[in-house]
Formats: sequence, structure tokens, C-alpha cells
Amino acid sequence: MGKYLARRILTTIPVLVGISFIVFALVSFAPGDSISLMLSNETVNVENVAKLKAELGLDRPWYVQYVSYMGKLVKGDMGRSVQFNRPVAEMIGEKIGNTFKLTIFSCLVSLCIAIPLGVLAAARRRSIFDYSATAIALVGVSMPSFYLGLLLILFFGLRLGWLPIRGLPTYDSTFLKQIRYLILPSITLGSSMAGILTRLTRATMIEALGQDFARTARAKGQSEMGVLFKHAFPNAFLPILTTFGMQFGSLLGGAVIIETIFSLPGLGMLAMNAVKFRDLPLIQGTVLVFAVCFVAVMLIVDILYVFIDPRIRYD
Amino acid sequence: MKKRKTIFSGTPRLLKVFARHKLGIVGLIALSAFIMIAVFAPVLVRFDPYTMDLEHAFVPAGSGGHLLGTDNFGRDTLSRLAYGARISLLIGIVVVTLAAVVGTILGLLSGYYGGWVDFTVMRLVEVFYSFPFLILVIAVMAILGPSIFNVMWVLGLVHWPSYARLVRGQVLSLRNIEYIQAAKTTGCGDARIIFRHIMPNTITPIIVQATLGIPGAILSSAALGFLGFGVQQPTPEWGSMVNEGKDYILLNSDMILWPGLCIFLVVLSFNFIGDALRDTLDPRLSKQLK
Amino acid sequence: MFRKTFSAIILTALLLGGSTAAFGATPRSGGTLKIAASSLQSLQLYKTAANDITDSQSVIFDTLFILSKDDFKPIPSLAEGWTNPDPLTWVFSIKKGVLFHDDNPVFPKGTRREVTADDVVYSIEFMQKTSTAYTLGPITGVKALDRYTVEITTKTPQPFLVNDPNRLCRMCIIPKEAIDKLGEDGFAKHPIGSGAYKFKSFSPDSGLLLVKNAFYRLPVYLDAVEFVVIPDPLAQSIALQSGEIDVIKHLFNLEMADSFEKNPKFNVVKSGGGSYRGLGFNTTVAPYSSPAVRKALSMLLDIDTAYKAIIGDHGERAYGQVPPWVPFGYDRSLKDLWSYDPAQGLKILAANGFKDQDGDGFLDLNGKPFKIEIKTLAGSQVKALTILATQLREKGINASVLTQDTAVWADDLLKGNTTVFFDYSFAGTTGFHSLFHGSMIGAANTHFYNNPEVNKLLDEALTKVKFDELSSLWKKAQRLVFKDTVGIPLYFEYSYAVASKKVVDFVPPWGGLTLVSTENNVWLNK
Repeated sequence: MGKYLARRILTTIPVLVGISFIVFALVSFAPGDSISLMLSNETVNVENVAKLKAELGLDRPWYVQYVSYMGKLVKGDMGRSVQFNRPVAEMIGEKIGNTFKLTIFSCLVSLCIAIPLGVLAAARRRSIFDYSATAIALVGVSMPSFYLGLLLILFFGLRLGWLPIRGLPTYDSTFLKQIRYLILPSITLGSSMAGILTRLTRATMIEALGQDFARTARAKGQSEMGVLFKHAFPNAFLPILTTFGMQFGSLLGGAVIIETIFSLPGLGMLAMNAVKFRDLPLIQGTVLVFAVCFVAVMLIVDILYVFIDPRIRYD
Repeated sequence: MKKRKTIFSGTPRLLKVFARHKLGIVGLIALSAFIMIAVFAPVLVRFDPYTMDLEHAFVPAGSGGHLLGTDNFGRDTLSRLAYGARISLLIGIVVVTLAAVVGTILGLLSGYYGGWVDFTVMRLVEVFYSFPFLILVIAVMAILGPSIFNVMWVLGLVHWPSYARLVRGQVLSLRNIEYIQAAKTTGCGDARIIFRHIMPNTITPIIVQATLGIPGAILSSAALGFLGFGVQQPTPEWGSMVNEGKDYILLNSDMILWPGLCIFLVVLSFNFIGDALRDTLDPRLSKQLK
Repeated sequence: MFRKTFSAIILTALLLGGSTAAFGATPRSGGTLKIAASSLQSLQLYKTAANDITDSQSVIFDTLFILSKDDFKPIPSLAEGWTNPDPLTWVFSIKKGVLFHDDNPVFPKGTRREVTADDVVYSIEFMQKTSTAYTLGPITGVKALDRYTVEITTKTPQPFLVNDPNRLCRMCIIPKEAIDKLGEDGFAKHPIGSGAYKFKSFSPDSGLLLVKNAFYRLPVYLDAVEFVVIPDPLAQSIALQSGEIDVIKHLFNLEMADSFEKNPKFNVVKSGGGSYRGLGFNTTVAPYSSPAVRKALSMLLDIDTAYKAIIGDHGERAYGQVPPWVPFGYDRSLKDLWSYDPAQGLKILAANGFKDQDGDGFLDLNGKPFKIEIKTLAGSQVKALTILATQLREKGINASVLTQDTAVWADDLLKGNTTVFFDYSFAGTTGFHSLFHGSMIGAANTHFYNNPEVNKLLDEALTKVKFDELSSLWKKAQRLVFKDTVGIPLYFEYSYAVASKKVVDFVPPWGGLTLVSTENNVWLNK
């Protein structure tokens, strides 16, 4: 067990290094860089920008800069943003809370829709629940997130005025108020995952309910509810968990669009602006944080998998 | 030797099963409609999608021959939607083809040879999987410049891992089957084994994956268009049309409603077909598509 | 004698009565003014020219002078006045009794720390040392002549030092102790100045809260000013309509201006300034190296129709680069250089080798297919450029607009990897020089234009500190540049602020946001 864990964690390292290398090379070879962008500003102070360039070591060849960056990173120093001259770690720290709130809330919304709906659909085959579950699932998967977001804004925000259309209220607000602001963005972000998980839950539950152990339980006198929750669901749980972990990555990726539409200042927007400005340390920082989150979730899912089903072993 | 079963044997039976999936049929019909519109767009539409008519901006649906009205530049919405269909469908198909080809080749090699090849390919898969995809795409688009070609190959780059994993899984389970072993002992070359014996058995899941992958590619390219990367104005692309319409949402919501609806309907059709296909070809297949 | 006094009393009464009638209600104290900002990442001075950051800084800090809302001429703020003993020397005398904010980590509550000439000297030197986004120009020396007088010497005459919104106008007065104690990073997290409102709290990219500085040298009415970060312009408009915010200081979607104007709950305030929108040519690349070709292309454009379709009357046609709000150099007579004459334009092009040889409906150049790709940034100008590209297509030129990522656009411009591009400049005073002076090649002169005659006129103009002398030289240079059609001015876009009716006396920012001054003082009429 411990060996498996250790091996699993170790394999994430080359992945993260690979990602940081690709990003670094990509931005270094890109046309345009942060310094020339500063210089294109008419009012720029040319001397001081040249000094800044030297200070940040931006005049060194890219591979030297990469090694230097990685060296600092291992010590926990993510560098300073070129654009704002602030520590990258600080800037990410400010934004990550928002992205987390959005992501977790979206996951909750998805799960709260998907699991009950999927279970109900499996329990009542060919009923109205079954068909509506499938319909909702298909809509969720097929609807472009930005379209759904705009539609929700249009109807619930503008026409009806029920819900706020911004992601966050002003900064000194209560937790409850924040939830109200997160409703529309979370539904938008979570819709696709909700669709996938609903179908998956339904499918795995149907399969589990048809298995021998379920029939045995029924024969032994278990109530339908008991069969559902004590026997079928635990078996269906694993594939749901795995898929959830995999979908989490696309959730993080989709956060950028949601943040743009709903004016939610999070990591996605920070990353996009950093790309726009070729702010290499900031780009690296945000990409790595995203990647680490994703990898961590996958790791947790894999570990839970092993714990829950001791029959499974990494091949 | 017994006649080898290919996926094409038993086709008439399969078609009958497919036909029982009502949703699948609906999806097929809808998709065919879109494809027809896309292919015959120049003949079907009355107005040129690029011609501006500034005097007639935001004309409501139905007036002046504009079945769906006009946009902020006075361009006919229906024409732009029709031409947009060409772009979205083209991108979807090309991206998936590219991803499937690259993914299959790497998956075959990885599964068959194992060892270092497998290790490298799998790490590559994880790297691409873990990349916050949108950021990768945005970075590349920003750097290389927005164009339909760049959209296609960048999205292909993002989607190949799932095919590689799928194929690798298939290869691993097939590798030790008897006739493969037999082929090896009779001195069959690796390439021959891979392409004549293993690959045909992987085609079915690849096709299903591809059918389900096209809607994803269409959604991704629309998202890029919406963010301002991807296909540029004045070329009509559904995602960028929604982006343009966003500015006018308080004045006229039509501009975002129609293109978004088109994206939704096309993707939905593909999903209907994909579902039906998956259930038809092999109900047990759904387990292998992880 | 009685009559004289009586008349005097009547006169005074009339005047007083008239004046109160004219000025309406008396200002009331209290309330928090909520202003929308698109982005507010950091409060570090001089690192970025982003308006939201500089606007909020101009509320916290004092500057020596501000730009008058009527004609953008500099009027005293912290400084009482200034003189030029000679063209290379500026002497500023500052007001007495101005205090830095108290009740912060550097000055405990109750501290009376007066702003002196030494502080001004320190602040100028700080700006020279740390500023990347702004430059003061070639300053050779700064020193305090006495407790309230500062002398600045420059290498060459600098008429723009006080007349440009981006030079000395941006210099914020800061206390040395704060930088020493908090460091630059720490000071950015808790800025201390002597402005009308003092720093209370900051949540990067979320909000900034400033509270009343009771010791300010002018009366301050608002209890607090809050900058609320709302990145999306649409969301800003909606927040304004719902009352979540009170002011949008720069309306990005001009389409919304009309609907706000019709709405009795809001005031649309037109700023004195705006932006310049034009096309530029890379004059080193054929066929754009030929002035005749450039002129011919300009004749194919119906600029009036194009810009009016996008912004209506929220702007005006530009015939030159210098905008009407710059106090010198604006020249309406340049109108005679431009005409919409497609027939003539096509004739000139034909004489220069343009002919449709492959029959595709588009002109080819010397047998090869000819394309124009107008490179631009994203922004409101893209719509106008799209219309112009369509106009060119209708005339037979295969034109298209390429919206580029900002960094790529800037890079292409600097490297000369361009042909026709969107000419971007701050429509301040130095714009024309930056865009067209030979010495600016490799920086802002992305046309790679080097005309010795123009250079000479501009150099001479820069030695004149008085505007009327400067103006005639400036105009001559402008005429030369546009006779050569180095660029095609399109339009000036006005800038608007929108405020709810209860906000009184709000002035759209220019060279900084001024909430309290001798010209205006914002208060809330609830």
C-alpha cells in the first residue's frame, strides 16, 4: 500500500516538470514578451524598463532562465509578476479562494442533481423520472457552458431579476450572500458534469440492480430502498468516483469561461491575463497550481479506489 | 480456418437494433439536416453572410426577407448560421480524425511494446490530461495567432490522449490472446500483427469514442470563438457570433440566442447518435470507454 | 450716499440669491460613493498605466497640479503656482499646512506631519528611480530651495512637463518614512498620501475602500469612496442600473450611452477628452512606401459612414492626429487633405500597378494577388475597422481585419512586421511626436517614418514653452505628415462617465480622478 502510494506520487513529478517545461518553452518562443509590451506603451520610461529586464534576468537565454526558475521553485519561491511587480504566490493566494469556491460549489450542485436523479431513474425504469433524467443529462452535456451562462443571466438575472449576475459581491460580505452570487455560475459550470454523472449513475445503478447480489438481497426480504442503498449504490460508487475525478479537470478548465461571463476574479482570469501580458512567472504559477490540483484530485481518487476495493491493484 | 468476424458482419441486424433507438434516429435526421445546410449553404441562402447593411441593423425576424433578422452590422443571421455550420462541422470532424489517428498510433505502440515506450507515452498522456486545457489552448492561440487551422490542430493535440488510453487498453487485453501468440510464433512481423490482427478489433470503440468526441470538439471550438480566440470575424462561427452578440445583450438578445441554439442542437444530435451507436454495437462496450 | 449703500445691498442680495439659485442645493455630507473599476490588482505606483489603478491613486495622493476639467490646462493643487525663470528651470511653491494622512502604521492617529519641499523632492526622485510606466523627461536636477519651494531643472526645454496628463501630473507626493518603514511592497499594500480620501482596506481585484481625510485642505463631503471591481462592461452597466454602484467612470460600451441618456435616473457626463482612432502604414514596406498608393487607399474609405455607424454622435471625424482637447496643434483645416473619391483612388492605384488579372474580383499587384490585413487590438475600434475592410472589399481590395493578442500586436509593430495597422496612441499632448518623429523609430513610431523636415519642426517646437509658438510649428508638422498620408486619421471617440442622479459634481477622469478640488467637489444628494 505504502509502496503503491509512493510510486503513484513519484510519477506525478515528471508530469509536473513536463508541464512547466512546455509552458516555459511556449511562452519563451512566442512572439511578443512582457518587456516589449511595456515598451509599446507611449509613456514608458525606457531606462527603468531596461533596468527591470536586467533585474529579472530576462536578458538571459531561456534555458538558463528555466533552470533558475525551477531552482527557486523547489525552494518555494514562485517569482514575481513582471506586470505588477508582486510575488506570484501572493497573487495566486488571493484568487485561489474564489476559484475553489466556484469549483466546489459546482461539484456540489452537480452531485446533488446527478446522484438522486440517477438513482431514481434506475429505480423507476421507463418512468417519467427515467426519461427526464436522461433528458436533463443530455441537455447538460450538449449545452455550451457559455451559452447556458448567458441564458441564465438573461432570464434569471435581467428579465426576472431574481439572482445577481456577478460571481461575487463586494468583498466585505457574508458567507450566505456569497452563496447567492455563486448560484448561477455554479449551475453553469456544473451542468456538463451533472449530465455525465447522471447518466453514469443511472447506468451503473441499473447494472448493479440487475446483479446476483441484488437479487439475493431481494429474495432475502430486503426492501427496495435497502437494496438500492445498501447493496446497489456502493457498487455503483466506484465508477462514479473515478469519472468524477476525471471530470474535475475539465471543470477547472471550464472555470475560465465562467469567470469571464460572471466577472468572477479567479485563477482562470488571472491566467488569461497573464498569458495576454506574457507574464511568464505568473503564467507558470497559475498553470502549475491548476495542474497540481488536477493531479492531486486524480491521486485522491486513485487512493480511495484502492481503499474501497482492495481487489484492484495498479498494473 | 474459421472466417474472421469483422465488425461489418451482422450489419443488417445492427441496423435493426439501431433503428429501435428513437432518439438515435431523431439525432441522425437532425444531423443530416445540418450537414445538408452546411454543404449546400451557398445555394440555399439568400444573402451573403459578409455583406453589411448598416441601415438595416437589428431587423426583427421575418422582415425584409431576413428569416431570422439581422445582426448589428445588418448581416443576415440565417446566412451566417448556415455558413457557421460548415466551420463547426469541419472543425469537429478534422479534430477528431487527427486526435484518433495520433492517439491510435501511440496507443498501439504503447500497448504492444510496453516498457519504455509505454512509460513515455503514458507520461505524455498524463501531461496533456493534466494541463488545464483551456489555458494551453489559449496560450497556443495567442502565440500562433487565431486561425481555423490552428484551432484544429491545437484541439487535436488536446484530445488524442483519450484515444491513446483506449487503444492501449484494448491492445493490452488482446495481446495475449491465442491467435496473436500463434501469429508471433509463425514469424509474423510486428507491424503485420499490429495492423492486421490487433487494430481491427479496436476500431469499434474508436468509432464510438469519435462520435462522442465530435461534439466535444465542436463545443471547444465554439468556446474558443466565444473567448475571442479561434476563428476570427468577419468569418461567421457560432461561438464568435455569441461573443459579438454579448455586447448587445441588453438591447437585442437575438444575436446570442440563435448561434448558441445551433451549437446546442448539433451537439445534442451527435450525442443522441453516439448513445444509440454505443448501445447498438455492444452494450458491454460502455465499460471499456473509461 | 444712502442710495449707493442701498444699491450695493440690492446688488449683493441679487447676486447671492442668483448664485444660490444657480448652484442649487447646498452640499450634504455623508454617504459612500461606489465607483466601478475593471481591474485593480495592485496599488504600486508607476508600474502600470492602467486607468483604474492611477485613478484610485489620484484620490489617495496629492499631485502638484491637476488638469482643469474645462480645457485640460494645469491648475494648482498641492502647488500654489509655478514659474519659469528660464526655459530650463521650473520653480514650484507649495501650499503650507498640508498634512499627510494619519492613523496608519507609519503615522499614528493624531500625528501632524506636514508636506514640505523635501517631500516633493523625494517623491520626484522616487518616481524617476522606480517608474516603468511613466517618464518625467530629461530632468537634470531637483532640489528644495526652502521649506515650501522646489526647483526642477531640465536638460532641454520641456513644455510638456506640466501640460501633459502623463508626466509631472502623475507624480504623487509620498512620505519618505513610509517607504523606509514599509518597503515598496508594503507601501503598495497600505498607501499613505495627503489626498482627500485615505486608504482603509484593499482586496486585490475585488475592492478598494477609502475613507474621508478630515484634515484635507478643502472640505470633503463623502464619508467614503469605494472602488468595486467588475471586469465585464456589461456587468458594470447592470450593476449601475440596479444601484449596486453609483458611477461608471468610463463607459466602454458606447451603445449603452444612449439608453442611459434616456433614463432619468442617470446622468451621462461627457469627458473633455477621449481617444484617437486611426490607421497607420508601415512606410518601409512596398507598396505602402509610396505616398501615392497610401493617398489612393485613403480615398476609397467612407470614414464618416463607418464611424457614425458605430458610435453615432459620440465622437467626431478626425482629420489629423491631434485631438480637439489638446490645448495646441488641433487643426480642422486638415480636412482639405481628405476626400472620399473611390473613382480617383482606383485610378491612382491602377497607375501604380494594381489590376485584377486573375478575375477573382480583387485587385492584384504586379500580377500577384494583393491582400491587406489590418492588424489591430481587440476593442471598440474593431467594429469600425471591420466596416472599413468591407468597404475596401466592395471596391475590389481583398482586405480583412486581424484582431491580435495585445503582446503579439505590440511585438509585430515594434519589429515592423506590419503593413496597415490600427494606430494606437494616448490622445494626450505627446502623441503626435511619439508617433511621427524620426527618433521614435524602434519605440512608438511604428510607421518607421523619418522626415527631416518634420523632425526639425517638432524639435524646434519642443524648445518653446509657450503654447502659441508651439502650436503653429506643431500644425505645420502635422500637415506635412498627413499630406504624406503616413497614417489615416479616422475618428476621435468621446469618453463618457455615467452616474446615478444622486451623485453631484462628478468629473470624468483625465490625468487622474479628481473628486475634490477647487473646480469640483463630489457629494451624494440622497
